Amino acid sequence: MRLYNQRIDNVLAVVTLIFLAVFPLLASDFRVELMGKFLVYALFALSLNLVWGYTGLLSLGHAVFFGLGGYMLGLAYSLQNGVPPFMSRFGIEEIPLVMRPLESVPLALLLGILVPGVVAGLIGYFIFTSKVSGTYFSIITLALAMLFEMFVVNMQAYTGGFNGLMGLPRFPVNGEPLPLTTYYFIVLGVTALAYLFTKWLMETHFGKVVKSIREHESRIQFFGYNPARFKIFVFTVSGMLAGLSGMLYVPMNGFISPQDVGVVMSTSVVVWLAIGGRGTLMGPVLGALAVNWLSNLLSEQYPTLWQLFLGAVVVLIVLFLPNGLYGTLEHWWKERSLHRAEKETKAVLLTESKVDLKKARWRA
Amino acid sequence: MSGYILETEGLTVQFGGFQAISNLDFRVKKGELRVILGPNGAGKTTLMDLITGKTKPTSGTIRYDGKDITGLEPYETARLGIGRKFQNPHVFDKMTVLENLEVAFRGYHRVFSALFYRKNAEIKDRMAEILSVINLKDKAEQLAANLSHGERQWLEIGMLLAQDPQLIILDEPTAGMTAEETCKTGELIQSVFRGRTAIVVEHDMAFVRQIAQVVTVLHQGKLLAEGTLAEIENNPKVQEVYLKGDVDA
Repeated sequence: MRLYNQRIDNVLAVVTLIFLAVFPLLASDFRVELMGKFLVYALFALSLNLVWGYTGLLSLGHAVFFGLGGYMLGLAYSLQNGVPPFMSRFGIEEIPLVMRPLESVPLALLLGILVPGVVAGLIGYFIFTSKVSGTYFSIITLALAMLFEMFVVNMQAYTGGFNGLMGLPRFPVNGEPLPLTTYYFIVLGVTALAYLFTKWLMETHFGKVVKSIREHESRIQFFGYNPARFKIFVFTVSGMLAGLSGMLYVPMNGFISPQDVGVVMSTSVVVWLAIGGRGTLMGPVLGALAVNWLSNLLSEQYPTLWQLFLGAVVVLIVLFLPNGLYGTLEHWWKERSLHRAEKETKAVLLTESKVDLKKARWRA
Repeated sequence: MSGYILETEGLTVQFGGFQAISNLDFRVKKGELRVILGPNGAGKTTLMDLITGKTKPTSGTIRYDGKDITGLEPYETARLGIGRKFQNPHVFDKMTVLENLEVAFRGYHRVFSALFYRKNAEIKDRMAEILSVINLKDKAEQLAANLSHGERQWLEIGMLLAQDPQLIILDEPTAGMTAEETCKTGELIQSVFRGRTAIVVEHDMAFVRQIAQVVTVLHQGKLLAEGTLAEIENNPKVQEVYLKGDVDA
């Protein structure tokens, strides 16, 4: 059974990887850029999957970590030519001390992972040691997303405010922006690594403990585990991954705005994960890619009606396929292989008993 | 050392105006198999909750193996060697039987030891051994949700074995089992938990007769009687509150 299970995950992962690798050879630059953006979304969904899918903590504010990562790199690019216009407009003539480290892009790349990690760790510490869980956890994280969005809008002099940060270059090396395809492959590589990391993490003993927290948190304590520690750790790792995806988003998209870091983005990723299948390995990847392609196609065909249609699809899937599209597929596959294995053992038993019967007759 | 693995002194817990346990002095010797009896609401499960740290006492102390464990969290009492089986089997449904056992396995409680834990030959052997003791070898790769009620009870006993506690608390381990399964469970408890201390809460008198050495009877949060099963059955106070139905019949 485990063999079959491994197979469907791995087969789909390899097929998806091959498809994504040849995609730039076949599609226009416009489509490649879109697919690159959706890959970033897939990475973001992988980060939420650790928290919601495997540990059962529905975070409705994950875009905060995405945004922290994105803004670190976005601000770093904006500061490359001295004081950016959105600052000087407010009479700021010198880069504030707090933002000095962002003048260095490599340092910003590091901070784009560390800062979301530290913030997630602190939030996790306060929430989980005070034993807040379930709906209250979701409400607190939702409030955080709203706060963060407001913060970015209101700190206009330092963040570019409502307009966001624009004209960001595509990951320049020695002053030259990277070609689109090269950057696309970097994003693909990082996402694939993140996928493998998730797979590894959930196959360790740690992964099993985290899943048992999702199943029955109070029970696991009686085996000597402190669930708070495990939740803080998984939330921190997830925050770092989300920060990484936010950073990859900036060069692909060319701009970042408060809409990308607030409630809308936080709930979108929940939808991708619900449709793909939370708590599975390929669910977040396929969910993010499929939903975004679909909404893109629909918005081209039916500019006014597409959101209504997408909403209907979401409702139908949540109602009738609670495990999501990939989750349902995986479940069906497991059942089928289980039946097959049972049939095989039955067949073996049957032939054995026939042999016994023959022997018995022979003796008689 | 006193020779007692567990001692409570003046243990009291109050829920609102109701004293679930009042001023209870309760002792269990090392290696003993103790059965706790009592009508509904006598405070049996509350006492188990207090020992494992799920409920905090209003006053009084609990000592385990000479250490004061009053007010510790469940994960702390578990690390000290107290294991617990719940009334309704609490297993992890969406995980396989083997994964359930692995999670219960002792010694990987910390985040980093859990991250870098490798299943070595010793652990594998122990898993196989436990699987055959609890009769679930063929179902190791199945989800716990697919097990029957009795099998789930055994799986939880297997998880306790993997946890390897010194003091085992079993809350109605045979609830919902057939007579045959109950008898098998009694044998299982007597054989596999030998050398450890066990406290068993149970209603099934046939089962109690099978396993009991010393019986404690609780009534309204207080200790009513303590002794061998024969002594308890002949105790007029006990007959009055608990075995009343039997006496009338």
